[in-house]
Amino acid sequence: MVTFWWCVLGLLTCGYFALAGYDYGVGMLLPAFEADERKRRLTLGALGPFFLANEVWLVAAVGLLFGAFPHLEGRVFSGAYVLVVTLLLGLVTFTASMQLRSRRPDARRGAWTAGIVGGALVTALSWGLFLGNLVLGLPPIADVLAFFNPYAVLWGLGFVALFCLQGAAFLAVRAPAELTGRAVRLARAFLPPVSAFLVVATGWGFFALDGVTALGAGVAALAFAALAGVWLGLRTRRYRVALVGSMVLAACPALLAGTLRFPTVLVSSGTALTVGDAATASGTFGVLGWFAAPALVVLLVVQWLTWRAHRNPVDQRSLLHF
Amino acid sequence: MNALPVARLQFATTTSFHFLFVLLTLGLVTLVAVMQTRWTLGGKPELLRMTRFWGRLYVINYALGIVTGIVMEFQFGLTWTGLSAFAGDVFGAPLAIETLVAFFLESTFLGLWIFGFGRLPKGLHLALIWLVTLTAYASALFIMLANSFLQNPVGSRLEGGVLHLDDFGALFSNPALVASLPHVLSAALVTGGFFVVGVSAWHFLKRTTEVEFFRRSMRIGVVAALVGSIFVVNQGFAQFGRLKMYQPDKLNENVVGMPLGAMIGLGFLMFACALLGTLLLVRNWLTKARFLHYLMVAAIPLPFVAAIMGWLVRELGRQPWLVWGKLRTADAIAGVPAGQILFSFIAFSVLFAALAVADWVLMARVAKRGPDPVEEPAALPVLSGV
Repeated sequence: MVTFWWCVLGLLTCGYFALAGYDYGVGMLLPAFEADERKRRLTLGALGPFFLANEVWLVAAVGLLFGAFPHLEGRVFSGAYVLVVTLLLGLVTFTASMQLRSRRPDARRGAWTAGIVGGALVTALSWGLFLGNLVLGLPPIADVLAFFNPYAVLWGLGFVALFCLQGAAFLAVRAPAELTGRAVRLARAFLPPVSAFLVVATGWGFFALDGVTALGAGVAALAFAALAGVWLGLRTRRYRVALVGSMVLAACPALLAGTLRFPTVLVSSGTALTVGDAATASGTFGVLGWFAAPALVVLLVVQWLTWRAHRNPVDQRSLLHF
Repeated sequence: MNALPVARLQFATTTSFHFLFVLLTLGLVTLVAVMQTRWTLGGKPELLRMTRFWGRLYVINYALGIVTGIVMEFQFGLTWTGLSAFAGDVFGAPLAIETLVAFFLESTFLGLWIFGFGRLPKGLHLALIWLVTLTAYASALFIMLANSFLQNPVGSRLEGGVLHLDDFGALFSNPALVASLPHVLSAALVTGGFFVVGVSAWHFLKRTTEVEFFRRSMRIGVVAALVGSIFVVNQGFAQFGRLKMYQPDKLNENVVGMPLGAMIGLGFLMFACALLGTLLLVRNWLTKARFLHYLMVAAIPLPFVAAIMGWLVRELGRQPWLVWGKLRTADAIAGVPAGQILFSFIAFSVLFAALAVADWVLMARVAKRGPDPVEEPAALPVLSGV
């Protein structure tokens, strides 16, 4: 039962990274496209119908974390306090700027654009640092500098490259024809740094991490397979394959953090927490099940319909909103 | 430095920001849904333009409701870890359900509504705004349910030093919930009503040519404010009786005296305004009474002030308890160094204040510009949407 809910939490978390990752990627890549307002709106408009639906996966994942694993939630966020706070600052800036930027057609938008780019960058860096530390084992909370250890910094930079790759692959599929050339070139440019991140993080992790399960090794293998998918998709000009590959790749770090030492789910300065200790009582799981099951079904159906309705590139008739 | 006051101040500040935005979100979405319903049922084209105009303001307001809400959700794990350790088995369930059932679906439906404008069949598009409204109300229900549990921990038993869930149904019939939920929801309706009336009054003061548009808006707003203020006063007083059942001495505390008095005074004032406004609907006197329009613009902030006062009464009055009679606030704080909490408090406060001001300036400008002209600008399809 506990393992089942752990998988549901994994689904929501991986869903968040697979989907929202390209939001941040597109945000960070905005300066790489021409500053012309029409093109900028077309770029953001590519995200348009997906944006709200993507961001809420995080809220749902954290909600479920609180409901199903309250004893983990308390330790993992407060245990990496500074990183979670910077993550939230980035996330709030990005999400608000994105939604407010284009509300007045006749207004200047420089500050909001800066908020989108900067917010996305801080979010990506913070996620990388946070997950890197989580995989390594959280350092003592009072030692702020220890959170910026070389392995976690590698993850932080790796996440920036990873989300950029994902954003570029997304734009290659969804952006209007006039922008796809640039998007594809960007995706190709971000492939080497992402590959380097993956190779170094895996190799380094092999020596630095202890108690790794077979599942954890499997996730690393999956990441390499996904990277191969991106490479193949870009090479054969099948950009949807590349996008799906990059989405799977973006979900891998979170998947790794959840499976690395399973059933131990959190290691922090010498102490360990298992999934059983982290979980709520079985009666509460029962209550959650009644509400979560139908909600997840409705959600997947509605989001699937959204993806289907907007699977083609943005064109003259598209509503942009953002 | 002691971390407790900083952490409390951080929670209070972020919650206040969140509350200011969600209150208007709840009230305004209801009015937008009513406007769109009347248009769909064969109403005048004016009603569609109203749906768009007020919907646009709603969407701007909604953006900050989301982002402040995300920070609220994380804060339980950031600073109040003692709460999840002690009551997580009970308190976590409504919060999880709120995010999964209500918020998650609300945002997804809202996205469909925004991008479905003019694309989806009328009936389906109308259903979407009602789904957004219902999920927003469900959000309020589960958040109030979780808060009421902290005020009065029913449905649970203390065992081995932690609370266990006994009866989830008891959380719904919690005396701390049954009167406060309608009180908050009707307060939201009042807020939405005063906002729509105030903005419309501003346009009358500026001698708008959109007389029909703002006359209809003002009528809907006044009626919403009247209905809302009747319930808000009624359910406010209904809480006094229930309060005796779970926190008998709450209103005798010194700290709640001022906010309580201010809230009650404002409640009656708003009720009187709404009643007067409704009476003046006869022969459209309301849209012609220029001196009243100044008052209406000035009255836009009143429901917000009253709501913050009400929240202070509810939350200050239960200190030093986080879970009433079971867990002290001081025992729930995380072992995070005070310096780090101070850093996050300053960072969140500055960021939220900047975003809130930017958001309100944006709303004010969009509100002042008024509705789009009747003939749609065809040159820029790119700028369409809500």
